Amino acid sequence: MWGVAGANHIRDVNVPPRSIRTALLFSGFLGSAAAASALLAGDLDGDGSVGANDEALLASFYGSAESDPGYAAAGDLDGDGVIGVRDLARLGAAWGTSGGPVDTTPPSLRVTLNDIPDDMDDLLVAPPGGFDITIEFDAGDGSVIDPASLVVLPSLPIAGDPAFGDLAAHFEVGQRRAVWRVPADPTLGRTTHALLAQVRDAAGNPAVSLYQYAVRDFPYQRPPLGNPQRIFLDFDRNRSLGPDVDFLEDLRRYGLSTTSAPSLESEMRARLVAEIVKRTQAFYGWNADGTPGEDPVGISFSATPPAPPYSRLCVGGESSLGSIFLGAALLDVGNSNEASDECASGGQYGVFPQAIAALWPNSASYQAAFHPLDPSVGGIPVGSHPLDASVTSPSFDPATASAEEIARHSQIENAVDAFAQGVASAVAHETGHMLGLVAHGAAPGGLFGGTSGSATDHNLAAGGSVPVENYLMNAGGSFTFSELTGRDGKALPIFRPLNWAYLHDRVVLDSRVTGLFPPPTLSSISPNPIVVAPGGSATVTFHGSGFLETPSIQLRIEGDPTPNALLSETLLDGGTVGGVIHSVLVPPGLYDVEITNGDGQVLLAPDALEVQ
Amino acid sequence: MKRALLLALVCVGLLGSDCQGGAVGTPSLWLDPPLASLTEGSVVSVDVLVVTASASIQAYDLGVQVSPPILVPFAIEPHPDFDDDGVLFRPPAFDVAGASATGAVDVRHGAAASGTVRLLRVRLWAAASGVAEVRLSGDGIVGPDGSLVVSPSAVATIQVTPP
Repeated sequence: MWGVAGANHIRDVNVPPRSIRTALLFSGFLGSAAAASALLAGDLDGDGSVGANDEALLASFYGSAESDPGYAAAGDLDGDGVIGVRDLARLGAAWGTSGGPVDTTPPSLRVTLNDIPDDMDDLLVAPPGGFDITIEFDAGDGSVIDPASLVVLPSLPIAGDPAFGDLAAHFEVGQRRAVWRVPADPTLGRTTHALLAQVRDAAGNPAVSLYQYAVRDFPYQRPPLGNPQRIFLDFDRNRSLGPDVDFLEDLRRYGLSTTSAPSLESEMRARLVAEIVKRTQAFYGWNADGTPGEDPVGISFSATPPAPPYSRLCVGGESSLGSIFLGAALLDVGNSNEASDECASGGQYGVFPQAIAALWPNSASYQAAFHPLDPSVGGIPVGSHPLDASVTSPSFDPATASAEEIARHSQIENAVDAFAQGVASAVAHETGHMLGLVAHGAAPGGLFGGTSGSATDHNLAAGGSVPVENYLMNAGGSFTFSELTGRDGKALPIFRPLNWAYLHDRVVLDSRVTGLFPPPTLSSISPNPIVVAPGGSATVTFHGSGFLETPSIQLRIEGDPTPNALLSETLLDGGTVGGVIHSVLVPPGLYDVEITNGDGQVLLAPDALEVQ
Repeated sequence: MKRALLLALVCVGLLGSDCQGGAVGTPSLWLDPPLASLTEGSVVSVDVLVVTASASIQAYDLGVQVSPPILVPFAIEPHPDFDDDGVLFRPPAFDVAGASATGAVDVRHGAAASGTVRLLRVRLWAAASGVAEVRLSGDGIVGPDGSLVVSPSAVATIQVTPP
C-alpha cells in the first residue's frame, strides 16, 4: 500500500499500471485543476506579482538555453530560447507589478524508464541495475517547477535505499526532467516495482504519478551487449564475380572513381571506407575520432578483421534478392551469436550500395549528389577531370583555389558525403538486425518489431503503424534519400528510445512477463510433514497468493545443488497449487520450497516442507 | 608624446567621434578613465559609463578582458548610479590566468536609468609592466523591453611601469 506525504490518497500497487495512472491523474484526483490563466510576465512563482522571489528564480535559470536541463520557459520572457539579460530587463521593468492571476494550474508529470515514450512503457522489464529512471515534468503555462520539491518513493528496496525511502537525492534534476541511472544492484527484487513521484511548481501546485515496471535477469545471465561486440565491415569481397571487388565496382558506378586513375581510385576507396566506418559508429554513440561519446553502445566497427570473436558484414555490390535491396541481415534476438558471418549465405545478406541508384533515381537530392560524377548520365567521374588530383588532395585549400576548382571540389565532396552517409545508414541498420533489432512483438517479449511484410524485423509504432519519426530501424522502404542521408533539412535517422535502451542493456526481453503481478507468497503447505511411502506418491497442497499459470515447484535440500522436482503441479486457483510428490524424486528430508511463477518471479521458502 | 598618441587612438578608433564624453545621437559606452598609468603592484579602478541619449537602461550583462594579461581584474562592483539594491544580480566569474571577468549582471527594479550612468566599477591589479588594453565583453546593455541598447565595445588603455 502507498501513503504519500502531502497527498490524501492511498492506492494498492498491485493493479495494472494504466488504470493506476488513470485513477491518479493528479488534476482530477486532487480536484484543484484550474483552467490555465496567463500569469503576469515575470511572475515566475505564480503569486500574482513580480518581485524578489521571481528575480531569484530567474537567477537560477540565467544563462540556460532551451536544450539545457535547467531552462524554464516561463523565465524566457522574450521567447528567444535563451534566458539572459534581455529577460532580466523585462523582469526588472515589470518589478512591483501586482494583481495578476495566481497560479492554480498543476504541472504535468510522467515517470518512465530510459526515456521510453508513453505508448511503449506500459510493460517494461529492467535488469537489476544499469537502467535509467526518467521523470518528465512540464510547468505548462503555470509557474516554474520547484526542483527541490521532487519526491520519488520506491515500493521496494533499490540500490541500497529502503522501500519508501525518498530517492530524489539520486536524481539529476532540471526544470523539465529528472534522471537517475540506477547502479547495478544484485539484490534488486526480481518482481514488480512501483515508483511514486511528486513534484510541485513554485506556486505549490503538486503533480503526482505512479509507475510500475518489472525487474528480471537477462536470459542466460547475459546482456545482449554485455561483451563489446566487434563488427568487421568487409569491403573486399567479390560476390558478384565481376572484374573487381564489389565495393570498387560501386564507386565506379557512382563516378566516385575510375579505372583510368588507379592511384586516385585507391585514395577514394580508402577515404570512403574510413568515412563509412566513422559514420556508422556515430549512429552507435561514438565520436568521429573513435572515442566514446556521451552514451556509447558497446560496439566497434573496423574495415579489417579485429580480434575474434567478431561478426562480419559485407559491403558492396548488388543483392541476389534484387537491385532494390540496400541491405539485409539476419535478426539475432538477444545478440546470441557474437560471431555471425553475414557474408557466408550467398549474396542476400550484406549492404549493397548499388541499390541507392535503383531506389531513388528520381530524387532531386540524389541527382544533385551523383549526377555530376555519374558517367551513365554524362557526369565526369573522379579521376577523369583534370582538376581532380588537386581538389581531392588533403592539402586543397579553398581560400586559394580558383572558382572552377572550388566547384569541382564541391561536386566531389557532395557525392562523397551522400554515398558515405547512405551506406553508413544502411550498415548501421543491418548491424541493428544482427544485434537483435527489432525483436518481434510488443514489449517485454519484443521491441515492437513487425512480423510480416516489409515491417518484418522493423519498427512499428505501438498501435501497429509505421512510425512517423525518422528512426533508423524503420522498414527500409520507408526512407527517402534525404531521410537516409540527412539532407534537405532532414536530420539523420536515430535509434528510437526503446531500441537505444536495448542496445545499452537497459531493458530485458522477457516474454514470460505478461503483466505487472505481485510476487507469489506461501502461507502454508498441507499436509506438512507429508508421508510418502517408498515407491509411492502423495498429494500436497501449497497455500498462498499470487500463483500464476502454472507455477514450477522444486524442493531443495541444503548442501545439494540439484533440485528435486515434483511429479506434477496443478494450479487450482491464484492461492492454491496442488502437487504430487513421488518417493523416487523426493527422498525424505527437510526441504526449501522454490515456487517459480510463469512470469519468472521466484519464491523461496527455507525449510518449508518435511517429507517423511 | 606616447600618451598623446594613445589618446588619439582611443578617440578615433574606439570611442567614436566625441572624445569629450558628451551625448551624441546614439547611446555609447565608455570606460573611465580611458587612459591611465600606474606602477606595478598597485590597483586601478575603471568605471563603465553609458551615455544613453534618448534610450533607457534596465539591465546589463558585461565582462572585461585585459590584453596582454598584465592587469588582473579582481573585483567588479555595482555602481550606485545604476544599481538600486547594492548587489549585482549575478557576480562575475574571474579568470586570473586569462585576465578576464565575465558575466557581471545587474538589473534595475522598476524605473530604468537614463542619461550618463555609471554602471559598474572594475578594479584591476597591475601584475607586470607594459601597456594593456581593457576591453568590454558580454551580452550588452538592454532596455526595459529587452532590446539591446549598447553593445560592449569600449576600451581603456593602461600603462604599467616598473616600481
